[in-house]
Amino acid sequence: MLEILKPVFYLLIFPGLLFTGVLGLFFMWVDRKVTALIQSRIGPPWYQCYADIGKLLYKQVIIPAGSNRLSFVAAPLIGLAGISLAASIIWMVNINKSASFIGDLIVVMYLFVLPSLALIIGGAASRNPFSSVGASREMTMVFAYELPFILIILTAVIKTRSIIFEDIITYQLLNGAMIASASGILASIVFFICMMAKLCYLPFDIPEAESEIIGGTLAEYSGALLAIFKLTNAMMLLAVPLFLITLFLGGIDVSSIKGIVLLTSKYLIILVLVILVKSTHPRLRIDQALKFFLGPVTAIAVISVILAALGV
Amino acid sequence: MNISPLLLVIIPLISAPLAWIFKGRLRQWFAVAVTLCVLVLAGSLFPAVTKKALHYDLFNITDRIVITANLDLLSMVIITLISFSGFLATLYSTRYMAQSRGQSKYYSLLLLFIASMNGTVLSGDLFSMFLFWEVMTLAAFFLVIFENTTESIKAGIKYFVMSEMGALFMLFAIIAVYLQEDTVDMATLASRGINVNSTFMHVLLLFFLLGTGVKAGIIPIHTWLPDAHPAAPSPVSALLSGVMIKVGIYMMIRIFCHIFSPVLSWQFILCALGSASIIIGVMMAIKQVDAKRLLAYHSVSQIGYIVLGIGTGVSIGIAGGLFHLLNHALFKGLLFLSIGAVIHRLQSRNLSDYGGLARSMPITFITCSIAALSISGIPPFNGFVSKWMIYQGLVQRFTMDGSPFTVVWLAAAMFGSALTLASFVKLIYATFLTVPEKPHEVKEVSVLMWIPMVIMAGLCIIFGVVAWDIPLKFFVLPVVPGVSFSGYWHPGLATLLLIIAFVAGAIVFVAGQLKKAVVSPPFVGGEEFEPEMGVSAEGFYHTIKNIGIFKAIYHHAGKKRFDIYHLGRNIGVSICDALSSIHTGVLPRYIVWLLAGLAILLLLIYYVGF
Repeated sequence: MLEILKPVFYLLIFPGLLFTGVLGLFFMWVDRKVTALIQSRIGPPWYQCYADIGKLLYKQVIIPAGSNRLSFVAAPLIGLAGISLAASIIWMVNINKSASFIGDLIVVMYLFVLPSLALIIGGAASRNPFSSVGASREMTMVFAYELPFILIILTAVIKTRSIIFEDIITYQLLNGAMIASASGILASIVFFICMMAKLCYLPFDIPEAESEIIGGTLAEYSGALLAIFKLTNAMMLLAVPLFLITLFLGGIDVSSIKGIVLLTSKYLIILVLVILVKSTHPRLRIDQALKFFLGPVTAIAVISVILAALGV
Repeated sequence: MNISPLLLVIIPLISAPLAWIFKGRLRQWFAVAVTLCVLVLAGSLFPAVTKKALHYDLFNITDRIVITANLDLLSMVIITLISFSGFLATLYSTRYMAQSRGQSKYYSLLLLFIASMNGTVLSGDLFSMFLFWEVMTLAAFFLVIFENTTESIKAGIKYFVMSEMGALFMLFAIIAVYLQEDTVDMATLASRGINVNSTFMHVLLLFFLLGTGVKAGIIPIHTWLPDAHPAAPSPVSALLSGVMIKVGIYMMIRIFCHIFSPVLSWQFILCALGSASIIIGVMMAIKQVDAKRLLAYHSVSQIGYIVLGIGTGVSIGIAGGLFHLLNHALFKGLLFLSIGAVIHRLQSRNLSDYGGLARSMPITFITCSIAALSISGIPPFNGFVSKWMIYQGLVQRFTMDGSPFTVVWLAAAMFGSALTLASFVKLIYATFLTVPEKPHEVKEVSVLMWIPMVIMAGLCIIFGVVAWDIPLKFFVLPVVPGVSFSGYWHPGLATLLLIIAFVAGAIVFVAGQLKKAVVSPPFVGGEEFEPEMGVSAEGFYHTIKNIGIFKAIYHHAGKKRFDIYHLGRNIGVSICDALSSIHTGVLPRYIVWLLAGLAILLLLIYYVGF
């Protein structure tokens, strides 16, 4: 009985839904606070993000008339389920390497698509023109960043000749973090750019674009459903950088104080970079973003694949 | 001699003319009963074949050409697939075709089609295989032109011409194999394991590739597929795409993996063609607005995955390819049936005529969504498992030879999956979720139509969730030896976890909903809400279609510049035009031609002699 409950515990409490969610919301606050400092504001108090979620959960849910209720309600839950599982897998393979299984890298990659899919389904089901524009843009963005994203994941695959997290982490323990190599640097840069798009942050917050399509997909969402979307975003903010750390920055070590400090500093550096880029760049148009990803970003990714194949 | 395997062909073959005799309801149920009978027979043979392959020498044509039937596990799996899809498609036809004329013809052809596919797979020798192969082509041709419109006749002729060209190449190759090896029995040939060491053998393999590739629909000889699939009635499309192109793949596996010993260069070619099919097929699908044409292009793309899996030459890759073959039959069959249900109600194939059907056709919406998620390879559905096995095969291949091309194939396969998702998001959005120009007053389709859809959707989930315990264990891994179970991802647990996370979210949602949800009109900034404010099916990927390079490619593709049939026809027509310009109808000119011909003939006789 305990054996069955163990994965459920991993998924729901630690390190999955609850842990990643609480921590993610905390970093969401860090994000808001630092952005505020850059913009010469005071920023919210530390509990603001929790308060937001609590308030939303309490509020009434409004469902747009004539929408498909099933898809509208299920969409945020699909995203939350996907990101919870992805986050748990990323944590678990780092904490306990024997938790790794063949092909887990691919599984995680696909699970990271689910939050985007949730936004698209939700937007399409809302029956709101702004939302459908948001859904169309979200899908176009996935189309744009997926090719370079796959290519840089292949960079890691080429270097380690495996699609298992365990091998990738072990490789980095033996040979040093992958970012120390030429292909690793390029791959990390591309990952970072794709991450901005995955997190839907400026300059790639095109699917949400509050000032032109009033939040896109999220336009019709309110109450608990919106809270779930917000929670998913917060978890993404933690899980996607962890994916980057696992793949290219030497993995996660939480067995010692030193490891935890190292991990925190790695994560905070990435987070600060994300915030800096986000608060200093204006939004691109969708066609500009598409050209940017399929042009220069893919080119860099291809170079990193070639370098990796050459063993650099 | 136990002849029950032969009944798999004989029963539908004899029933085909009988279907002509019966009338009305009786005919429909007769066809359903026959296909059910074939399915039960196939199922009952399965345990025996698992233990030992069945082989029959039927009769001798000459001393060396012996007609044989061979039922090993690979053919058994494919036959089960054919019988299963055949049964569901026939059941679906009872309502879908209820209003159309010429049903006697339809059911006869359908049974003949199923019989010929079973026959092709059951044949133990290349000659009877070729015979059934041709019957299959003919039956499919008549089914494609069944609706008798200009479009369907054009599509049918295109299909027939391309198939026959391929078949001619294959016939030549079969004769050559016979002359060289003195036998056409596939089991004997396989036990010899013909080595491919001369140019002649390479040409032979190329001919086999052309013959099987046309049926399977791989790039660049796929062009009949996007025309023929939409033109045929929906249950026939489901059979064409679900199983007939798989018969092409089956022959490809027989030839490239069994009869000839595997050659690296051919594995490379298969991988290259597979990857090209994946990307080109799905890129063409993205821009389609004809629902069935969109699905047809996805068949090209998904066949690419199967060919890629076979081309890896690694056990898990081949097993992945075979599993993807089964999965594709399920989800693509399901997609054609679901879209067929929509067409049945709205009488249009154009995506922009659809919209908002999720409320009026909820079952179709759910089955179609399951199929769309499966084909896009979203975990935990079945498409994910097989695609993941193919990736694993490619990675193993890469660790073996370190070829940079393997990385290209891997990237193409993974990116193709994202593109597939993109394309199906559009399909689901435009068909079921968007706001239609004018509301459709339609009902859900009849129970006989949605039952096959629900069965297939259920199998899509089962094949994904318990992949290792049911389909792989019974159907795939016994066929491809050398794949171990240990250490692989078992989707069951992950599915359970996904469901638990989903339920946990749902509890949060319900708990949070202290006040009841209210319904209010969508917010559009205070304006009157108009349907055309939203994004149409054509506009969904406006950005992608208008980006430089894609725009140019789509422009040329739209003018059929990449269509090998069209190019060939143009060349043929221009040659004929040149020749017919000689025929002016002026008598003196004809006399001049006659005299000139005579003079040339005399000169030849004079110089060359007899």
